Amino acid sequence: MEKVAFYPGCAAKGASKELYESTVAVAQELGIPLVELPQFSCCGAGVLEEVKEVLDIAVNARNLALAEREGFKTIVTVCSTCLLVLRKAKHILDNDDELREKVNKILAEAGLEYRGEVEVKHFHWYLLDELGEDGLRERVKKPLSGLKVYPYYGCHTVRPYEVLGYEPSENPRSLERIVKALGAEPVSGERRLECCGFHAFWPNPKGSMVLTGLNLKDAKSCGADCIVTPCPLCHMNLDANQDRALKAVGERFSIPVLHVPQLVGLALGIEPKRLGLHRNIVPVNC
Amino acid sequence: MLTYDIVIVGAGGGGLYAALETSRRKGLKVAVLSKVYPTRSHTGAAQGGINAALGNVAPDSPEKHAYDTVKGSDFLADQDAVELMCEMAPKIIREMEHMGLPFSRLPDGRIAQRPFGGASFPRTCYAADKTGHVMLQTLYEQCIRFGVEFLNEWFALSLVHNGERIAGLTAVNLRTGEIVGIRAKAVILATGGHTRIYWKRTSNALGNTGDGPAMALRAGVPLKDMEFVQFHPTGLRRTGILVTEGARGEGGYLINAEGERFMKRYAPEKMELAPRDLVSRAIETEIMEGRGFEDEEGNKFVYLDLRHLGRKKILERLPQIRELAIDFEGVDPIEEPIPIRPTAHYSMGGIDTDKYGRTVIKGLYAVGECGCVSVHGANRLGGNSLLDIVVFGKIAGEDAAESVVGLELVDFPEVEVKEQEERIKSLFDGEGSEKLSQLRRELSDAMSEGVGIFRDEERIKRALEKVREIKERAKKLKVYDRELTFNTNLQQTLEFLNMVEVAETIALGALERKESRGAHARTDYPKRDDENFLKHSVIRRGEDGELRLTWKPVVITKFQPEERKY
Amino acid sequence: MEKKEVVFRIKRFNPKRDSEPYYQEYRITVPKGMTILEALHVIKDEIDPTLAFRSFCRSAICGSCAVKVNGFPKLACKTQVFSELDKFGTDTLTLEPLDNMEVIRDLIVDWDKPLKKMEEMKPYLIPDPSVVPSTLDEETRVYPEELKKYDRFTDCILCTSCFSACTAAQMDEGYGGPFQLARVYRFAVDKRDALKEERAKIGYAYDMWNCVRCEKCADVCPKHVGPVDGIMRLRGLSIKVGLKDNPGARHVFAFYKSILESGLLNEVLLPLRAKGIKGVLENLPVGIKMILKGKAHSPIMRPIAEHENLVKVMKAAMEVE
Repeated sequence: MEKVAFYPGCAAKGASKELYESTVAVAQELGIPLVELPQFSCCGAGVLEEVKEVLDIAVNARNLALAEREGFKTIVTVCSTCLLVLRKAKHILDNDDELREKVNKILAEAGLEYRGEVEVKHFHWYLLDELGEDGLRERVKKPLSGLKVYPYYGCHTVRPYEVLGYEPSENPRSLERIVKALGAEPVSGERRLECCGFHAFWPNPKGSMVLTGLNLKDAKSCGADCIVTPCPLCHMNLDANQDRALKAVGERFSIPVLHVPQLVGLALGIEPKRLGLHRNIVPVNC
Repeated sequence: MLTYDIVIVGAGGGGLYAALETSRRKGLKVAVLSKVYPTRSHTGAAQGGINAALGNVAPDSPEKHAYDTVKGSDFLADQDAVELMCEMAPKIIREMEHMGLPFSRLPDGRIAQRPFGGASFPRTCYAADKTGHVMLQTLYEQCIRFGVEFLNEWFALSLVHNGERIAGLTAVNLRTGEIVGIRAKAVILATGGHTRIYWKRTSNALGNTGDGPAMALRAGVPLKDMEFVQFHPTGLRRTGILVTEGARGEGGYLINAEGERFMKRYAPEKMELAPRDLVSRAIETEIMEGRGFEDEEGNKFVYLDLRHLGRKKILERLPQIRELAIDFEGVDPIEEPIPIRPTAHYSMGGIDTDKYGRTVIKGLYAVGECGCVSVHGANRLGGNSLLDIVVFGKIAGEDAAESVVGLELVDFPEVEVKEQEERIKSLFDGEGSEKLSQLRRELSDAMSEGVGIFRDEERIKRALEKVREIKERAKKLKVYDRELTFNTNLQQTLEFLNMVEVAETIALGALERKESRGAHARTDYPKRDDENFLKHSVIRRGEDGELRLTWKPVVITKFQPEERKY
Repeated sequence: MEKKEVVFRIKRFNPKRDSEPYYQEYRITVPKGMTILEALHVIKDEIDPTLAFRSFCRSAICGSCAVKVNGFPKLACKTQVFSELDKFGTDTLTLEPLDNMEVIRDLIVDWDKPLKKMEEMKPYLIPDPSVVPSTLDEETRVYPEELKKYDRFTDCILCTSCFSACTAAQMDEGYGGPFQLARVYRFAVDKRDALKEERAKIGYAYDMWNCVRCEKCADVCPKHVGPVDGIMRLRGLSIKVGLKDNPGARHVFAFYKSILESGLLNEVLLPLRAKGIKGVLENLPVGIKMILKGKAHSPIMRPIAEHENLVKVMKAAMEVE
């Protein structure tokens, strides 16, 4: 396998350390040559667009250009919002020659150039593209038989299709495919594509919690044993804020929420500690 | 009963401009009545642009614009009206620019202009390929700003007058099903075109059904030059959906099955940028003579090739066209040529008005495509329809606003509302032995075959007979939906009945005009005949219900008729 | 010619007559290339004249015919039946009226409420006399790059698809709505406008910070307007005109500051920076849990490698026009 640039994003380096740990463990197990670039900066989570549009694009063009400079063809990230922000910057730069020229002038200040050669993928897309469901299934040592998993996409791996484009935003199947390959049973509910409200948490904590609460409720009513999500930000709301979210919708129960690499890691037979499962707020019994 | 000073029927560019003009006069009670929410109006579908001799790209003048328009009209346009329109054009463009209309711009910040068919210079101001859309949005925004009152999703049924002055109209509120009399000192009709008559192959919206002209006809108000129907050269193969003339303006080629730019045989100088009547005939001739393509469904077509313009230009200037081609034909114009064929597009004819939009009934106006001033004569130039609607919308709005000051309302007999209620009740109680979709298809076929791009006496007569037969059979239609709320079955039936009435005038005008001029191409009279037919046809329904055709002279000021070459 | 038997499961409701909405199924033969709107017309013409839906231009410019197809808002006229069947791997398509608005009848919704809201938000240019010429002998000079700022936001056809899909509108009656806020932005960056950036205050009053950035509006927009981008930029303008003391604006500063400091987001300081002591207290229980689980980094962060070139890039980007 060709080496890929690993863009963990700030959450995986901080509040979602277990995501970082599990990604690294899974990559090791599967022999994926992930190389983390120490120069990568925060993508700004889209918030930089609120400071100035070209700032957002320039900061992310720098990230893309760094990967290109180091000879990578692919950047792999484990955060949905990083995925969206990086891909959006790329999408805009690849379709707007004038802006690209302007941004490259800015990058020149730092001795960099964006050439438009690097791709940005989510980790779970990468798994499907490189190994496929069959390849993944072959590597499974402890099939998750009998486990009912609610695949929760949230927003930024699917929408907008124009920018993400990996699968139909209205009917994505990538998570279901992974869950199945691991031997578990996907139980897809109607809120799997709904928002968790994370990005309005600061201005509107109550609304944010209601949305997360509704999503949790849906997972429960589908009979799920756990939720899996490709996004550490969704994870924070679903897991760390689970009590508050359920309270906001008048419910009381608990349901474990796993990052994609945590679920994959379990099926690969990696020990829970290496997957950081002990860090999940809602306990995961495995 | 509702009462206003002025009621404007239709909320496209013409109606909205008239509304804005009247809103400048304080104290007038004005309403715009529209069967759709205003921004749905068909003005929004105009793509390519609006003509004005700004001279931003090449030196130009209103006089040259007027000459091109008159020549394009095959000398049937009234030249005083054309001069007025072309004179006003630059100012009205700037007025809309000052309202916020997002025109495409030149590098120096001035409004960009592109070449269009039949024009001597790049004269067409545009906003990419969505000019009508942004114009409609801008005008509607300004209507919100000035507090214009709207009656949205109301359908006009009839005009009420006392033989001399307008008294108002009747209309049905589609949301409630209530039939309402509306008294007004002035009524401005801005109901748009009627080429939906050619149902199966037209660029028009489903609602372009000639409601205004049909109401006028029923009210004894004459229609003018109805035989002139424009077929736009480039409609998408399967649906007839419009591909803007801007595509040729930007340099697109028309290619036949032999891979040849066939326009060189028809308009060696202007090539693809000849006027629409000529280009449409050229395409049809290529197809008839076996140099077209045919697909597995039997659709015949030629290609509009944009590939040489390059990705950047296509994305920048024709983004919407690209998307339409992808969505409706599965063809990306960056990679492949677009299959096209002429499509019924525009009605040059309409309610007979003078250059202020006035009709024979005092206080009743008509503007835009439902009216006929005439500025387009026998063939309209691309980019002149958006101009027509705003110029004459403005003029009529001004004239109406001035004229109603101090005027008393005319008596509005209650029975007018009763009559409409009866008419609709009879549709609910219809026999039902005829089917709407079947009759609509038959009307479309009859019109396309008899009064399409090429015509002759025998074909026209057949069409006329067929239309009259359909008119009889339509009496057996039944409205099956009996609900009051949003009864779209009733609406489509009323619209069909309007189309049948208007269709008859098209066929009658075509039969009587024994010459070829502009869009009216008679194979049995292939030459223009200025001696006998340099005049407008005027059709009116008599007391006995029969149509009567008379003639009216053309106003000629500066430009003497000459042979039309491109 | 490829053809398929397709079942259209259509949600029907006449509030004047029916106590509950119900689904009615229609089976028709659909040839390849047929749109949802064409199919609706076949059903109305050939099977059931009482079916109520709106349609007009059939070329994706008037915005009349938006309905939900298998749960997602679409213009019926530009949506191919076959591509939807493929996407959902089915031979049944469910058509429903748009969300977040009341149903008038069948697929027809009452869009007055969101449109009225737009009208309240001053969706029109008020010419700035110092920019727009006072006579009609002159046009305003608008350079292509100035037009580009708002050009795509003028593509909105008011089909209300985005409003139907909007997460924030669902949650908050006072929320302005995606197409409405995007139009506020459109005028806020038009140099011809008298209010200009001050318009961001309208966005603020209409809860624009409640946008959750779910990107649904961008995804469903048939004209690729991307209302969310307009909302984000309008938020930026609100900071520029002085609306700084609110969690949304402070959250933005927190990001900016921490990226400038270290290149990474300082999550530990975020509650304090975004919401002050209140933010810290509100999130204390969760914060403690996270610290105990080892889910927190040190509040003092080491800068990323080549941080100095990030700073150069950020400074240059802030200076560029």
